[in-house]
Amino acid sequence: MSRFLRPKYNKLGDENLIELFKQRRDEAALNCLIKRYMSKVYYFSLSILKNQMDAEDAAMEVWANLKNHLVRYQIDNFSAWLMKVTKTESLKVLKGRMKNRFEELSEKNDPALMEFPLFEALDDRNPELEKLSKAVDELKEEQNRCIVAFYFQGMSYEEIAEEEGFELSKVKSHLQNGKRNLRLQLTK
Amino acid sequence: MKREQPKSKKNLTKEDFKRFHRTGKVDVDPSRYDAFSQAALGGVRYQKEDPELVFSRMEKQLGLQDSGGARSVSLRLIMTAAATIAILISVGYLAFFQGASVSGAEMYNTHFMPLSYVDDDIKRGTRTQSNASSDIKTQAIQAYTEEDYAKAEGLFQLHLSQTDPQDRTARFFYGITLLDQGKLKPAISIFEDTRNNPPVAAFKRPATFYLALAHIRQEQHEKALPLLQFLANREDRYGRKASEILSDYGLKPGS
Repeated sequence: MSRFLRPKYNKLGDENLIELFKQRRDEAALNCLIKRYMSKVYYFSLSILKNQMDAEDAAMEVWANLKNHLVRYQIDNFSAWLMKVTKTESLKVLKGRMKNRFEELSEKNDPALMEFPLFEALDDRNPELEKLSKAVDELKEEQNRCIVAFYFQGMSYEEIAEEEGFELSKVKSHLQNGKRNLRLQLTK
Repeated sequence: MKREQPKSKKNLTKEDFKRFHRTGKVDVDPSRYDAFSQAALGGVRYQKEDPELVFSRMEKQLGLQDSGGARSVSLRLIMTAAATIAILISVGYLAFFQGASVSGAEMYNTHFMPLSYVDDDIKRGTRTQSNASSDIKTQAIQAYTEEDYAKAEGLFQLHLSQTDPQDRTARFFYGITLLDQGKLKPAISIFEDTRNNPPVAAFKRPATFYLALAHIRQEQHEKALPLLQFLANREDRYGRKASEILSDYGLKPGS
């Protein structure tokens, strides 16, 4: 196809763009598809991971594998498929992050290691992790901020106190209450 | 070529997410959007950095920037690009022979990032949304949020001189409006004060960041560098931005 006679990609549907890429290896069609979904993939991943850098990594992994996936599989509903792939990739990253945090806290013998239900979910399947991620969203604002900062972003008590403007004792108390409420949520 | 059937549900775009971040609120009805968009909305509350930076970083890594792929390439575009390149070459040639480097003002323009207003009065419960709707501070916050810094500056000044001279949070944001207007001396004084004695601990890093930017704009780079090094030690939005600025100076964090 002539460089000057390219279709107006933005006007095409997902299936047309996929078709163009599969049939002609049209990179511009693929790029248009990525741009169309870039923000949704990133923000959906962020809703699970609650950590910007992790969400960026997960999103990049989704895009890095997209070409192969498109060639290998017949995808009927791209949006639904992409949402599923994003979730799987994000939960994989979340599992890795939680394992690292678990090891970090084990080394320090940190009492915060105890009773955090997310660690118990590590050996389970993804639905448990997903449930926990959603339960964290339901926590009260202060508890959510402390739990996310401590467990999902790997910050120390002091860093959270500085970042959030809480006293150290308040950070510990929000974490404690947050953990208790998470347990309650999950046993409902 | 077959067009996709119109969807019954709407689709959130990059511009929507950028707006949510800018205004600090999700101003759409989630039920009118598709499942993917609804799921993505859950991430908005965890986005601290300007999403434009995130998208631009990802687009850069994926090689999507300036790909021109999404649009037809017109002759006019090619001519414009050629003219731009010619101008850039000429400017670069002149700059090279005059020994010019990037000015502090240019660096400031490149690296300035807005900070969402945190109304800690409302957080503390000493002021409510309803009775705050018409006061000067609310108008100042509104102007600040809309990035109308000239208007916000006047309103913050009025609030600080007439309503609450002790409102150190408002004073900090007043400093940002001064910085934007190029009123660097009073801005620096406010940022130094906020940094040394922040109304809430969370303001220490942003105050340090804006202080560094003010020094850069004032061409006092030697004063900005230690502040940037301090910020670059942590992986947050200020740390990342400080690392970017340091790399503009040709320095690495910690060097």
